Amino acid sequence: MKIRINHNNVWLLIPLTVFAIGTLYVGSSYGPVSAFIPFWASIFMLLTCLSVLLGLDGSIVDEDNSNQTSDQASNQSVLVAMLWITAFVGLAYFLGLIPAAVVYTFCSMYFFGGKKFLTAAVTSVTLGLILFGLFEFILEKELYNGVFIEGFA
Amino acid sequence: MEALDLAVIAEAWVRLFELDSLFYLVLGTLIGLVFGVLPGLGGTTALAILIPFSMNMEPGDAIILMAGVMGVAPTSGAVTAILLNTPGTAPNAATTLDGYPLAQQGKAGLAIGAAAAASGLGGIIGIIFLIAMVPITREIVLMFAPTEFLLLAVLGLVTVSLSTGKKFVKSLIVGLFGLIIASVGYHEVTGEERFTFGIDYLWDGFKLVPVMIGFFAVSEMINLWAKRGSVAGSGEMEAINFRQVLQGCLEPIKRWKVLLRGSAIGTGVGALPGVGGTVAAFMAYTIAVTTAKPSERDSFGKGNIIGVIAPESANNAKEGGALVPTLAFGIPGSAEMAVFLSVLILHGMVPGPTIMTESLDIIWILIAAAAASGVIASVITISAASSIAKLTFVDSRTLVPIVLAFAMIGSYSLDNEIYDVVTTLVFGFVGFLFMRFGFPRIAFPLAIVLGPLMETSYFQTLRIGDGTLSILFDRPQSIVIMLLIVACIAYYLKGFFSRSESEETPA
Repeated sequence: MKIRINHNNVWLLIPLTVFAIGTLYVGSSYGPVSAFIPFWASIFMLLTCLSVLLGLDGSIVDEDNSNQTSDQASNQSVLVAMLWITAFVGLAYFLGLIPAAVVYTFCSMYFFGGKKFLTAAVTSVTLGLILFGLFEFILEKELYNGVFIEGFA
Repeated sequence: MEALDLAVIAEAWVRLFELDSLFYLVLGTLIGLVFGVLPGLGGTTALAILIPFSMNMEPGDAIILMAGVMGVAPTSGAVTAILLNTPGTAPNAATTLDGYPLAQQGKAGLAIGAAAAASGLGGIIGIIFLIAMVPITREIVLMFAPTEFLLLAVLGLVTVSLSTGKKFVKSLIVGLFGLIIASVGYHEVTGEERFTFGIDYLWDGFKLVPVMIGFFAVSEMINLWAKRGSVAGSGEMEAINFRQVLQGCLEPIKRWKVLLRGSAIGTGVGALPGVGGTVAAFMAYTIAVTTAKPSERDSFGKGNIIGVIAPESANNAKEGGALVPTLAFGIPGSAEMAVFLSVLILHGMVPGPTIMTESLDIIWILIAAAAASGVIASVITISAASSIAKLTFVDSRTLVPIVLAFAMIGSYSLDNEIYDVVTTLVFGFVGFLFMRFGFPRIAFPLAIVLGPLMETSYFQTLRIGDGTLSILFDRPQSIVIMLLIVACIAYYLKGFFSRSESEETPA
């Protein structure tokens, strides 16, 4: 069995290994009953992460042989997607949840999806009305109204 | 309360036909239909998004809504598998093998009719199995002490990881990560705070719903947004002849042996933790091929209707089987069941021996709703297959913001806590990264749900064993479960070493 660094997964395995070391360090300071799961899960996680990182689980050959990246999006697309998804939370923080959903849907459809202005506007406003009706009248739950109304506290 | 109390059973069916119950059933079925037909989303995502909305409902209504989703998702996924060669959910991949060739031969209607009828009938057979198990389940569960529950949780995680084949170790990593996440917050027994780092929000640990919504729904939205285009790509859809659809509906009845065998495989496989619908569907397909007449075997893969009936019946029958360990032991067999289990817990039902006495009415409502939703799903699929398939042409730039809005707002609405939205986002990233790097995600929800059960069982085991774990070796039930765990690991290692040997041997 050859030891070979798994470059395919290294960008995920290193943070996971660090996570396992961190939780092992912190978890070992708890009492025996409280530490049972964190301690043993961290130890096994560390061992399994290292085994995959060093290619001891045999997954490198399978990943090299498979053509699994063919339908995967590029790293740049992924980064853009993550930022755009995060933007919803940012918008929600400032505008409130329902206005954020309307603005976000409109922007997604009009600027990124190339939809007509009217189509994007009608879809996003309809979504907003459905959400408002659902939470205001059916579920009777008050939603977050944004930092300008709720305050910065 | 007697498990087969006819009054309770009748009450459940009467309740199901009340106007509000029917509304929730149809609503759940329609939502499940949309999510089931869209590749990558599926029933698990739909269930996760619906949890917060179900919190204001009565437990019975919430269960009906969820049963509607679970009953329809596997059926609707077959439509795109047949018409577009794009399975809506992973188990529907087996249906493409013969379903799509049939569609190319102009027999799309026949295949859809057969798939819908096989799904509906398979689902009912699975439910019959569940009904048969209800009276004896409690007796079986009472044979298990906390020691066995601790070991069963470990067995559940190991078998779930084992079901991912060569990715066993990666799946274990995801499961162990889930266990650590589940341990955040104060310990239920000792009260000790763990991994809170002084953050008040983490005192109660990560909340189940935002974590599940993030891990399944948001991660899929990131994936869809990054891929661009419509969900199903740009495939050409075959036309449907309605007369053929009706003919197709009779096919599973004509080939009842295939139907029964597929359903039996689905039910049995579904009851095993982690093995899931994909294995059930492909196993049923493989057995259908091997048991077919020699003259028929060559036609598989080229458009044999048996190749549609077998996997579809297995795929739907698994739901009944999978509900048995979920309800009886609180050990879900799949990601979908893990999310469903969290619905039960959030509505105050504790899976295990007590659920069969204290919440028996809910169990029968679940059974009635699951049976009815399978039938409704088949009827909708038969009558509106083309329209259902067109859903997959929706552009991701339209779909993502809408699903994301429901996911995020749903997550917030549970406790009116803006940090829950952040948690959802963070676990969306985590789920996406696991997906991107080829780590099977199925073990994560199981670990999140099983973590607290393991901790409680461990503490109780220590109490019973006077501070030691020696009791694990005293009870035959424990020893059997431990042997099963060892057998699972040995099975993986055997495969691993035989693969290593074949790689080292020059060709």
